[in-house]
Amino acid sequence: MAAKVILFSYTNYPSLISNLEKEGVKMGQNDLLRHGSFTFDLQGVSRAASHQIVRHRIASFSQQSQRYVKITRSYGYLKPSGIPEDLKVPVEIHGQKLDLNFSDVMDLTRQAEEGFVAKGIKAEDSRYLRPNAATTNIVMSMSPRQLIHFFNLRCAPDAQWEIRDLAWSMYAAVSLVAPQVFGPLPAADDSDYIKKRVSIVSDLVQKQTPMFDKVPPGELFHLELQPYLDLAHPVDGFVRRY
Amino acid sequence: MRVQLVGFEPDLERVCAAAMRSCYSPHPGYQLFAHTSPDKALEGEKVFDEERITGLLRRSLELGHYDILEHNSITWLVDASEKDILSLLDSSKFFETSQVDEEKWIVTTNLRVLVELARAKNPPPLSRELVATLITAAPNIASTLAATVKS
Repeated sequence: MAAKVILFSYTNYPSLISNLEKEGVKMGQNDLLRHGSFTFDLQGVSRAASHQIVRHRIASFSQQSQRYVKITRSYGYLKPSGIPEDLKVPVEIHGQKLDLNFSDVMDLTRQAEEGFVAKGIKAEDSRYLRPNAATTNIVMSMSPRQLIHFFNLRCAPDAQWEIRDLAWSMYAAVSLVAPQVFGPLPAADDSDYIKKRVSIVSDLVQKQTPMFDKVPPGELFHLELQPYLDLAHPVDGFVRRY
Repeated sequence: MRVQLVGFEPDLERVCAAAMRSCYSPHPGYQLFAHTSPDKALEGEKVFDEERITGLLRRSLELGHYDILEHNSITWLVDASEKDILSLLDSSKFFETSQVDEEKWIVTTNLRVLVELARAKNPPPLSRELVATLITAAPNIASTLAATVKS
């Protein structure tokens, strides 16, 4: 299942700018970066990626609990495309030799965790079996200033593919709703890879803005990211219109 | 001192309540946030109406789970001295300020900080005026806080 990046709450900059202008105050670029917040719902993200996301500490996170949400109520995993589905590795347990692919191993850990839960082991203990590939949902808020820092690091060609895909999807979403705040990324000055993709985002935002403007207030707009961004894994982008 | 509310995200209480519930639900934050009609079922979840939102936020205030109140920003235009702004900055690391004029500032923080200031024993003078604007930005939080202070 595709990951989802949903920008569902954000500072209404046109309103903020206008309210300040009524008082004779003009916001400079530095003010725009400080005085705002963008809240994403990131769905179907691996724990491997969410560990990287929460290292950005000047942000706010609400992540799905593995203690309160038992594996039997929420289960999923993300297989890296770098591991072929048909690639098997030999393992040995209790004298038995098996050849297992990635999905087989995921299935084993799921069975074992569910088995412990069924035997009355607390979810907070049985979840220790959960692999890094297990998917999670996380609500994340950042100021524009922090988001730009996040994009500079995580949109880079040497960033890990999953968080890089999420970062570009998020950059496209904020560029759609707040073009006056998010221009080209500073990191584009030093990287042709980033420069090229910033220009792709600029084009896709320009192309889809008229469609976004027609979405009824309160509803979600499906932001088409592929094939433009050439993401390494399926990500669906959505933006709530005010 | 003069404090004027100039910006906050619409539905910010519903965002915070959905973020809170998303930690304990198999359903993700946006699905909870958008679960406003009883016509569409979301397995195991109550409809996200005013009663539900108020209940979740009240619980977060009771438990001191203030982190879920951080998913927003609230901005004011403030007439205040440098000393007043400094004491505000000293009260929390979550303030952003821009100086517009000698005694005029744009000030931004989030709901968590306002709740902490509302409950602080010796809050900085400016904070009372910021907290007073909660009735517009977050009316459910404001009434819950008022009830707590009275009791």
